[in-house]
Amino acid sequence: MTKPDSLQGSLDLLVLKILSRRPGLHGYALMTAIQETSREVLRVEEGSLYPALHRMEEAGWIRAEWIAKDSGRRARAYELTAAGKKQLLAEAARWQAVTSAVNRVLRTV
Amino acid sequence: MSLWSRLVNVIRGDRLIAEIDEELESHIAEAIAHGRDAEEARRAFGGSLRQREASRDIKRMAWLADFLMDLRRAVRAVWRHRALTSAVVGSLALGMGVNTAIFSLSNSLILKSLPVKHSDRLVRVTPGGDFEAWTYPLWEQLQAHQAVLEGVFAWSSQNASFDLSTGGEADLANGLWVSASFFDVLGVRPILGRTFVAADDRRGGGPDGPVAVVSHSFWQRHFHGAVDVVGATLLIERVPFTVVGVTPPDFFGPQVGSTFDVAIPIGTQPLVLRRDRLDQRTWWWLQVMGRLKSGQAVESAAAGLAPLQPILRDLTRPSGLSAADAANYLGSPMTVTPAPGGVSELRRRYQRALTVLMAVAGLVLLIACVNVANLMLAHGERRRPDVSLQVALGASRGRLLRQLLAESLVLSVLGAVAGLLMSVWAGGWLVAQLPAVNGAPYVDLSIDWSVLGFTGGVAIAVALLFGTVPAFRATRVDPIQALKQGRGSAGHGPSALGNALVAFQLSLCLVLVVAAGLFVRTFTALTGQDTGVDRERVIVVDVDARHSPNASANRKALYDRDRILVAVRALPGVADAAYSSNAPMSNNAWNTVLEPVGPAASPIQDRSVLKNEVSPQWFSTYGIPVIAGRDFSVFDQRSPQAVVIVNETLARRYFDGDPVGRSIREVGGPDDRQPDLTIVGVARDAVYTSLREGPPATMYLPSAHAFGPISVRAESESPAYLIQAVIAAITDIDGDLKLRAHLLADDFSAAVARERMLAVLAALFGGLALLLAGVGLYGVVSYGVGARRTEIGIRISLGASRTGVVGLIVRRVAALMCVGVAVGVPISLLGAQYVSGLLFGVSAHDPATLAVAMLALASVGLAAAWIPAQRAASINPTTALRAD
Repeated sequence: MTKPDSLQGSLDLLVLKILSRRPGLHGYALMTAIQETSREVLRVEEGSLYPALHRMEEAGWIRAEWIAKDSGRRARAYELTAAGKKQLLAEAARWQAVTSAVNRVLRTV
Repeated sequence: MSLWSRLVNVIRGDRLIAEIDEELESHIAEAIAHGRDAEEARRAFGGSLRQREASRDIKRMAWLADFLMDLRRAVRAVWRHRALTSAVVGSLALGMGVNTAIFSLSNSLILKSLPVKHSDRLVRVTPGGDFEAWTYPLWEQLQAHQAVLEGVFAWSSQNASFDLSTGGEADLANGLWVSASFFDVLGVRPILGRTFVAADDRRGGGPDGPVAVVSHSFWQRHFHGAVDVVGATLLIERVPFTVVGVTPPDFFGPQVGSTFDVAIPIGTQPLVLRRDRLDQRTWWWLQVMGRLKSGQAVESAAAGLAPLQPILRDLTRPSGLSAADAANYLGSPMTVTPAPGGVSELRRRYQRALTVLMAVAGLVLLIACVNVANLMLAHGERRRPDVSLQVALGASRGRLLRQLLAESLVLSVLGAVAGLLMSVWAGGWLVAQLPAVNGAPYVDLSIDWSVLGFTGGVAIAVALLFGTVPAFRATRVDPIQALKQGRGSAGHGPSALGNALVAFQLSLCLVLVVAAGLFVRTFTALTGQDTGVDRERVIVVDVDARHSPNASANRKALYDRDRILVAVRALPGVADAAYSSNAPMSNNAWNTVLEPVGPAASPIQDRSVLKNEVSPQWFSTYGIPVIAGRDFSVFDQRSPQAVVIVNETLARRYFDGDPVGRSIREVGGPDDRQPDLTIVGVARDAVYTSLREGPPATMYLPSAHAFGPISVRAESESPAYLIQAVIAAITDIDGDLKLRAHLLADDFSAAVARERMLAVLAALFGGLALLLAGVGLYGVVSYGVGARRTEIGIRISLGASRTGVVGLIVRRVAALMCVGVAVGVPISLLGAQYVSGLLFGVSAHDPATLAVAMLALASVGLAAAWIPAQRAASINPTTALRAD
């Protein structure tokens, strides 16, 4: 069951886009960045964030390294790879195609 | 993340989980720092376990990790059920061990090629005319004229037992006569010194004198690995040879199954043998092999050699042949056959037998697998509650199947390792059973990749064979139903599948027992037949007189026969002595062709007979009665050509009625008419060289020259103790004679080595099969009785007698037996057809053997069913009914 403001398949796209602008974010920062930039409209399910991140890391689109935080803990900071940049362009193009198709239907029907 | 890191993460296990947890924890800490409620933050993640597992599965190779986990669990399960494991591993080890041993032997003897470069281009060349070996003149011509093959070489191991001593006791080495091109064409490079060049292969040796090449093992043994072996002198038959090279350690010669110590050029033969036979045109003794040019096909090589044949024929035809025989000389063309494995007498004799043994061993393994499958089926039934629990917790059927198959694999691998160890020992024993063809048999049984690959493949096949069906059965559970039962004891007894497996096992067992019966009968028939000679009483002394001063140029006698015979006959314990040109069962045959004598001689198809020259009293030495006429006397030896004694078969074939007084004549050349020979006696048939064929037509001439073995008859059987005395007596008279004495019984024994091996092994396997089948049957019947306890309890309480219950069980077993036998009999008959070439004295469809085999199977079945039947009969109905 999907909620109306869920992200469905576009989580990948958003993560890649944000990392392209602001590299070196850890998971929590990514989550808040998405929520802020979309003005609270889009909310990331925490349960699906990390599997998605790990999946993208597996695919080679992002890479991670451990950084030390001032609180003494370590966190994993992600950044985009070259393959990720290509993937971002592809995903963005796909998104554009889909949304313009939907818009066209809404206008004409 | 790459494939590599995913692979590595499989074993990183805990570290991986710790990292994932750390990342998730730092997220939560961040959330808390930003003011979110701790509880809520954690809950937002959903089930942390699932989070962790989802991420972990992304980060590592899931199937590999699962497989390793299955293996770990399988090892633990195998250890837990130790009793079952030992039974299973034991049966599998036996089955796989024998298979690996026989495969290893077959591999070395039949499949492997010679350890030389490009062995696939080696071919064997025969001269045509149904000859397998060449004469030296023929070989010389081939070598001079052929240009089709890249190279040809010749070799022989006849008369190649070289005495390295200077006198007294012989120190024999395995020798090889080789042509100069031998090592070059084979592509064998010496590790020290050089191999032969063309100049070395000349009569009397080449510019360096007589030279020799020694093998690596001989270099170690005789020269103790000394580095100055090149140039050292080696006395061969008291002729000094110079060692010029040493071959690499893995080269054992051109014959699989034997090794060589010293190789010398063919041209040096006159020096070593003290007589020059090389130019003889009727002595066929050389093996010729060649190497194809790169990319050349065997057929084109044969076609290229065909035009040579007429030239070779004309240049080497023996003189004195009649016109018909001359036309037939080398009538059929030269043949070229691929021979990557060299030429092997051992292989030729044993190939069929080894194939049969391989099939038999395979059947034993199959029986063992069926046993194991049944055990696993029953075991699966008992584990139903465990499996049901796993299914209830969410395990998929595929996952469970993989787990159970992992267990089968572990069992199978354990069995294979144990079997491999067993096969090393068994292989050694097998090779020891092979007869010595040229010295002690040498077969390289070291475990190489093909043997390991074979074992591994068999292990996996076996695991799949016995593991698949039980695994499928075990995972087909209805969790509720099974959990409800608690012990899960309401089984229906062995399923139709279990019964079918047992019946199949019984039929295989029948086939093996029939095979065992046939081979054992073959062996007893061969050894038990009347061979016409007293084999237990005779000692045969081979005489080598090349160093004796009596060995004159025209060889009137190589030893002083009369004095020796007198001396030997005078020994206590000796009943008689004689000499002849050939001894029975010595693999030496001398044949000739008779032509009709006298008016109206009827045409006879096969006029070839075997010939032997014997001294007087030779017949009584061997215990051969002269049933008509008389034995030879000393006077016959003075005019040796005029009289002859024939055996019964010859007399029957050529004459009706009494042949004494009639004549026969050997075929001679056009200018060389042989004299008529008058028959003075008829001897009883006796074996000559072959035990399988009946006694051949044989003619005996009085011996004029003494150049064959001396035969000694003892007064009692097993005369081994007399050997020393006989040798001493002969050496007293002529100390230069080289003597080798052995019992006639040993020759007979060696002749049946193959049949003995088949009989022993088939009997062993048959017994093993009976044991396995019996154990399997016992297991299945016990299980059935256990499962039907309730039913039997009810029957007994309703008034069934004990015998009635026993009868119930036994009837079940009998039904299985009948099915097994019904399937097994046609398979046995088919199989027997295939091995009929190896049988003797018993037909492939012999009903007596079949009947005995069925009886054996029936008694085993009865014995196996007896104990469970008794247990069934003593079931207490009240306890049985109460248990459920």
